[in-house]
Order: sequence, then C-alpha cells, then structure tokens
Amino acid sequence: MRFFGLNALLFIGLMACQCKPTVPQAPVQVVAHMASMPQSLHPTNNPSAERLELFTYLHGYLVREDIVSHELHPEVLAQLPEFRPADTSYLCRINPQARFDNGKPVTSHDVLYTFKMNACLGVRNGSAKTNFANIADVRPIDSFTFSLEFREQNIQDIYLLSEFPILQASFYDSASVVAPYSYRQLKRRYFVIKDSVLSGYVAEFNGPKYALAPSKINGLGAYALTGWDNTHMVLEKKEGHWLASTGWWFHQSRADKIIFKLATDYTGRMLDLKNQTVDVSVGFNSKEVAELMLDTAIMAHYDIRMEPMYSHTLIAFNLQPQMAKRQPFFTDPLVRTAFAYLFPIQDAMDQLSNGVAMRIVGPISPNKSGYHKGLVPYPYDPAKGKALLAQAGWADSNADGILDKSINGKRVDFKVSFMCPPTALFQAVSGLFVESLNLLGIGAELESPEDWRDRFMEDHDFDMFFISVSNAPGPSYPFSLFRSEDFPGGNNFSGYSNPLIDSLTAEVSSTFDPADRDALLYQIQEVLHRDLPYLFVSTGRRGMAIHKRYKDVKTSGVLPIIMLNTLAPSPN
Amino acid sequence: MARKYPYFINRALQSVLVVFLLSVITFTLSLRSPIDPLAHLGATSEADNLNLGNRKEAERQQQLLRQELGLDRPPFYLKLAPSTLPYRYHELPQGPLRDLLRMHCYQGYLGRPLLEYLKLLNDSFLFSPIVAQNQQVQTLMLEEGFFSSIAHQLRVLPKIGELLGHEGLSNRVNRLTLLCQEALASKSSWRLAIPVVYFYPSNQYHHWLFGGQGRGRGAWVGDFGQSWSSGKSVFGSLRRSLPITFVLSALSLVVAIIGGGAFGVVLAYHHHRAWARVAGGGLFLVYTIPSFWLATLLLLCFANPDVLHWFPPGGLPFGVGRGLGDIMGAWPYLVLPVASLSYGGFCMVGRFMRASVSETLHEPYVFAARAKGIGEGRILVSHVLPNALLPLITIMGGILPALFSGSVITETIFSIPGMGYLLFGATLSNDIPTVMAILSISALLSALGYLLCDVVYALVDPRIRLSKL
Repeated sequence: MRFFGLNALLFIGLMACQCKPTVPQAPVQVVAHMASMPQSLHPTNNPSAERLELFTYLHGYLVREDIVSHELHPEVLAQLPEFRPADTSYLCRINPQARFDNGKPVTSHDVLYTFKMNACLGVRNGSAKTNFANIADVRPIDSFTFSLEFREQNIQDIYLLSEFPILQASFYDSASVVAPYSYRQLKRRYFVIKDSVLSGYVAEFNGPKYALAPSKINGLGAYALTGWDNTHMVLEKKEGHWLASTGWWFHQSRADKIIFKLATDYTGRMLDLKNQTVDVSVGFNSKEVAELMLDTAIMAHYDIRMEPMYSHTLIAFNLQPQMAKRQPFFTDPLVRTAFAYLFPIQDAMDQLSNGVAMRIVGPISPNKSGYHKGLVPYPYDPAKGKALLAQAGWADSNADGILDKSINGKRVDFKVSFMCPPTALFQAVSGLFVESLNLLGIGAELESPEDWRDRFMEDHDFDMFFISVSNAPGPSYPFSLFRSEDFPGGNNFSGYSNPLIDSLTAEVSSTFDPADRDALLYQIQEVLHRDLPYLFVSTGRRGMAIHKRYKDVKTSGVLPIIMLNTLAPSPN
Repeated sequence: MARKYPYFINRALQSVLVVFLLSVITFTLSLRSPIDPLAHLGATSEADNLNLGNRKEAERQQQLLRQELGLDRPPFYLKLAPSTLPYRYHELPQGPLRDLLRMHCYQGYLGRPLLEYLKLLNDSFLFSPIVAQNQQVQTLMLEEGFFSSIAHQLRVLPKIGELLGHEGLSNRVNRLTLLCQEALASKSSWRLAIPVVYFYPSNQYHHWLFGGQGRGRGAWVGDFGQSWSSGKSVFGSLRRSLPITFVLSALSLVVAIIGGGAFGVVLAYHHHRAWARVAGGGLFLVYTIPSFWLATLLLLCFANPDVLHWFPPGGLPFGVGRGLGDIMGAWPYLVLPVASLSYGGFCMVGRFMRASVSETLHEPYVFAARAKGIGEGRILVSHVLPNALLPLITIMGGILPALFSGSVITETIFSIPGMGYLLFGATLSNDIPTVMAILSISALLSALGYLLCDVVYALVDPRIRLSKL
C-alpha cells in the first residue's frame, strides 16, 4: 500500500512536471520619451515631428520607406506602382487584405478621398500641398485599382506616396459631401469658397474634431491611440491586424503597448535612464551623449548610439555682391578655394561637437548612395590658402596687417563679415573661424543679427554665411541651393549659376536607374567641389539610448529613429 | 466704510484703464511679430503658386483669406497721420507697396494719386503671369531696387516695358508711368504739417476684443480664437493646463507665505542668537540662487538612484491632470517642483517678516502689553502679527497672476505641462493667439490682484487716510 502510495505520488509529480501549466506571457510594454506632446493629431494638418512619429503606428500609407535600408515597400498598395509611359501615369493596386478597424476593406474611393482632401486648397495643410503640385489627377479604375497621373515624371513620384496617411472616406465624410467633386476641382480654392456646403465641411475638417479625441483618431496602422493626457500617450496593439501578415520587419508588432512619456529636459531624461523607467530615449545632442557614456549605471543597462541626420552645415559665399552693394570678394573662384583651406573645420568639430559630427564634401547626405566618397575634404592648410590669395592678387601692400587689392582702380581691404544665425553653437563655431581668418590677415568680423533671414535670404546682404540646411530621405536632393532658376528669390543663397549644373540636376530628376542617378550626382558634387559656391562643412548625428533588454534593434537617423513596435525583450 | 466707496470706485476705474492699456500693448506687440498668420495656419504655401499657376492667383487667394480673418483692416480705432496719408491706405495689401505709400506720404506726396497708382501696379501688373514669371524682369527689379522708392519705379518701368516687348503690357506700362509721374508731381510739403485723426470703427483690435469678422465672440468673454498650433480653442488649452499650475502655485504660495512667515517670526524672536543670524544670511544666499540651477540640483539630489531616490524625476503619472483631487493624489511628483517654485518666496517672505516683526517688537504698545503681564504668545498673535502682516498684503497682490501663469523654467525642467509650459511651447511654435491669451489674462489678474490689495489695505488699516490715496 505504501509502495503504491509512493508510486502514485511519483506519478503525479512526474505528470505535474510534464503538464507544466502555460504561464501567460506578460504583455510587452515599451516606454519611450517624447520631447513635447503633439498639439494635434489631425490627419492632414498641423505637422510636427511628434505627430509624424505617432502616425507611423496609427496610420497606414500607400508605400513606406524602410528607415534603415531606405528602400520603398508597399503597405496599403499590393505592390509598388507600375509606370505607364504612354500617359505618364502609374497604375496602383490596393492590397485586398488592407482593412479599416470596422472591417471594411480599403478601396480606391478611400484613396481618392485622401488625395482630394490633401490637395484641396481649403484644407490647411500648408507646405504638404507641394506633394500634390505634380499630381495632375487621380482616377479610380475599379474598387481596388486606381491610376495616378503626374504632370511630369520625376524620381520622387512614388516617394510622395509615403508622405500622407490613407483616410477612410466613410469615417471622415459620412454624408459624402466631397464625393461629387473631382480631384482637379478641389485643387481650386475659389471653387471651394463658392460652395457653402463644401466650404462648411472643409472648415469642420480643419477644426479640432479629428485632431484631439482618441476616438476620432482613426487609422490603418497596427496600433490604436487609447490614452492621451498632458504627459502621456498610450498606443495599444490591434489584435489580428492585417499588417501582421506582410513579413516585413517594419510591420512586426511585438510590443503590446507603446507608452510615450513627456520629458522636456535633459536632467529628467537622464534620471529616467538611471532609474530604468524608460526603454527608449532619442534626441540627445553630442555633449549629452558624451555625458551619458561616462555614466557607468546608464552604460550597464542602455545601448547608446549615434545616427547621422539629414541636415548639414555649409558656408555660403556671396557670388552676387552687387545686389547689396558689397565688395566682390568671392566672385573669384581662386579666393573661394583659398578660403576652403583657411577654416579649421576639423578643430571646430572636435572641440564643439565632441568629435561626433561628420565632415562632408557636398550637398548629398552621407546616408545616401549618391554621396561622393571619393572626394577629399579640403584640409586646413593656411599656407596654401594664403598662396592662393596671393595668386588672386591679395597682398598686404601697405603693411597694415590686412590683405588688400586694387579693384576698379581703388584699393580695397580684405574686410569681410562672417554671418551666422544667433544661436550658441553657430556663434561658437563661427567665432573660431573668424579668429583663424584674423590671424591670417583677413579682417573678418562675426555678425549674428536677429534679422538674419531677411539679410541672408531676401536682401542677399552678406559676404559669408554659416548655416544649416536640411535634407530629406529618398531621392530628394537640395538642388535648389545651386540651380540658376532658384536665384533670386529661391534657395540659391550664394547666387551661383552654372549651365552644366542646371542640366545635370534636370537629368537627375528624370533618371530612375539608381546607378545612373548616382553617377550624375557624383558629377554634380565634383563640379561643386571645384567651383565652391558653398563650402560644405559637416553633418550632425542624433544620439539615442535603448535598453539592453532589447536585442538587434534597428535604428536610423530619420524619424521615427526606432520602430518601437518591433521591440520585444530578449528571452534572457 | 461708506466713506471709502468713492475710493474703491476710483481704483476700479483705474484698473479698467490699466487693463485696457495692457490689452492694447499686447495686441500691438502681436501685430509687430514677424509671423505671417496665413503661412502659420498652413493656409498658404509655395505650392499654391504651383497649383494655381501663377503668383497673381496666389496673391488674390491670400487677400481673400486676410479678409476672412479681418487682417486687411486697420489695426486700431484711431490713426494720427499727416493729411497726405489717404483714409483708405489699408486697401493696399500689407507688404512693400503699402510701405512705399506710407514712406512717400510722410515725405509730402499726396496719398490719393499714389494709392491709385500703387493699386493699379499691384492689381494688374506685378502679379500678371508675364511679369511674375519673367526671370529677367524679376532680376532687373531686384537689382534696380524697384521697391525702394517710386522715383526708382519711374526709372525702371520703361526698361521693364522694353524687356517685356508685349503690346498689351506696354500700354499698361505707359499708363503706369503716367500715373507715377502724376503721383510724383503732387508733392506739397505744407500738407505734411497738417495732422489728421482718422477713425476706423471696424478694426483688428475691435474684432479681437469684441468678436465678429471671423474672430468668434471676442477676448472680453474669454474667446481668444483658435490656437495656431492645434486648431482647438485657446480657452480649451488653458482649461487643460490651468489645474496643474493652480495646484503647484497654490502649494508653493502656502509654503512660501506660511512657512516663510513662520520662519521669519522665529528668526525675529531669536535675532540675538548666532544661528538666527546665520539663517538670515542663508535666506539671502538661497534667494539669489537661479531657479533653473536649483531645480536641476534638486533632481540630481533627490531623484537620483546614485544619491537619494526619494522622488520621481519629473512629469506626472498617466491620467493625472483633469481634476484638482487627482493632481493632489500624485503628491510625490509635486514635492520637488513645489520646492523649486517656493524657495524664492519662502526666503523673501522670511526676510520680510523677520524685519517687520523685529521692528514691531520694539513698538511701545508691545512693551506696554508685556508690562501688563500678557503672555508672549498672546502678544504675538494679538499685537505683533496684525501689525507686522500689513505689508504682506502688498506681496499678496502678485498672487493671482502667479496662480494662473505658472513658471516656464520649473515646468519645463520637471516636464509638467502647466501654463508655463504651455506659454513656452506656444512661444516656440509661434502660436500668437495662445501667447496673447496668457499675457492678457495675466495682465488682467495682476490688475485685479493689486486692486484687491489696495481695497484690503484700505479696509484693514485705519491709519490710511483716504485723502492721501
């Protein structure tokens, strides 16, 4: 009996080991910092970085750019659009799996509504309308197919489709006010103003109705906004969402809940990391990254990374000085080349950005394949710079310590202004540059006026200007910096004009083969490196901290920096 | 009491005047801001030029929107100007042409022919596609300083006519040249010496204050319009941020006034002791510490696992912020911000009370009370404090605006989305309606606070003679 009892106990014990009860896995909750709460989550208006980041999870787009590889992937579309050369249009097919939260499939009617509302001049989406300037018409072919007609074919055509989320027509326009009007009609404001029903609808659409209440934030994304207060935003995963089946890493919704926590100041963010109360914090500058890396408690639990951004700094030379009646110091290419040797750029980067900035040679971001790695930045070589200045006729003829030259029979001292925006970092770097020029016999003076935008961009009233310009991912290049048609009145700040550059930039815009396009971009960079309308200085990097419990995290320099939905703690 | 009514009415009227002047100043400052409301509202963009085909359409569209928003009206009721400036000068859109008109009128040119010329130039020439899209013409205009003076324009117009070589436009150029000559011939310096006062009943300030013309019901009933950043009503934003700031400020004031006051009394009673002297100096030293520095120090000392981890490092728990009760429930999150907000007031009130109580303790009536054998506690409560507290009323005058406006620095460092943070965010995002609302309400509450202060002063201090007020 005793033996039986022991055996029975052993049997039960073994069975208990075999039938290990399934422990319900704790939901994965990712907490990330947010520098400021979005003012609005309107589907078309009030753009902000925070809104863009949240839309990544809340909305669906026709196509998406992979933030790491920068390749385009279809999302709401079944595949990338097919170009039809006969009528410069694209044929687009909607993924039949794509469904709104009420179970209804996305149709070409929804896509058309989205295009109409974005292009409608009554809708206050300001600069976003630029995306629609080249889109001549949108026509539904059947429920899941539509065509996009462009005014002219451009390499950015398909990338534009990743700029705006797809809206559900029946949700935003249940009375079908917009339906009777065509895309072309809605692009004309007078038409909207004349129709009181339509203008009333547009006014309501512009208002706060679809911008603030979580119940009215309706998107195709894998997450829903379930909470939004003064300091937090909570996103929860939608069960059985259609995006889960795509297989693309970007769409893997491992996190059950994503919580964004307001953190406006560095000290608070740093202490959150020390306390391990957040998983992800992005947007640290180089100085802050250096501090975080010195903290052993933070380094023990967080992975600190830097990713290159798409903005870069440059020094613009004034090549049209007559507009503001300034001296023609920089119209001579020899002088510009000389100055390229006279700025201690590497020293400035080491001292002021703790060595985390990257030196660049041209306007194309180093993140892109078109960046010309073969070009060598001009080194700091004052002797060579001075020799070039002497070759250009600048010498200290009256021994007053300042170089001079006779221009139109009049002796002109080399006294230039070096302007920059009135921000601490720009002023510090500019101070270093000015000091270095003064030591070399150039009377440089640092100016940092409050009205710098007017003086630099409109009045063209400067000699040299140190500024940061932004770039964008995808096949978007800052050509307006040096195209003839962008001066005056555009972004060609230096006033540079070169027919070769004009033709090359035009060619790039219609070259769809990436290898051919890169070859043209190299050529552009070579010409600019030689002509130097601008001296390209450096590109910054964005710092971030990611908790080490997450493995193989993919990061990027572009928003949203980290796809929080793909994070899940490693089993260990 | 009844004798004091005229004084109260007088002070109330003065306060109304102060609030009116402050609202005018705030409004004028907002007009002077370099931000274009249309561009900021996302109502216009570069793409409009592309979509609409030419700049003229874009310009007309902007004019329409300006009319919708009432921005095409004069800024205020009255305008003092030389008689050369035409009454309807504002019919010319804001920009270089209106600036030119004003400049020339102030030089003695007659406004009416000038306005006629400039309106024709604006309406049927500058933004016509042939002129706006001609690169050579645009370059010539920039190089020759077309917008710098009308005399320049007279010189440049024939050159533009030659460049265009278009028959229809040549006629227009000739007509413009003729009008321009007429306008330039109309100079009469004596008219410049005669000032006129124009009255504009429908103006931007009027509609901001009393509503109408797309401005809702007006600021006087709390309708400050829509936020340029979020599109929602400014009042809604204020209502969301106010409870947090109110709780923080009220707690800070309690700490500052009650704590600082009590500490000051203790210091006054023990002024002969060394520790009291050191503490008095300490109050002065702490008072001089900048708030951003102290706030950061508090965080690093009391929310840091490496030092003392007593409080959370900032923010508020999720869901807190709608009601006063749940904000109070999150008290651990409030300790450091309250300390950071109150230390300045604590030190000031403490030093103030120490000096005031010390002075009162030497008054003859205190000696008399002691001589009567009244206990020290009763002397303090009945004789010292009522007299020593009187000057504190002045400090209390500033309480009302402080309860409302919060602190930009403290709220930003502790990530607390109160009024200060709202103001900071609105300033960064150029949200002028929100900034104006906060400034206007702060100004109103300041005036109200000091009015109450004067009224209370007059009621509680019988020594104040109304004739001297």
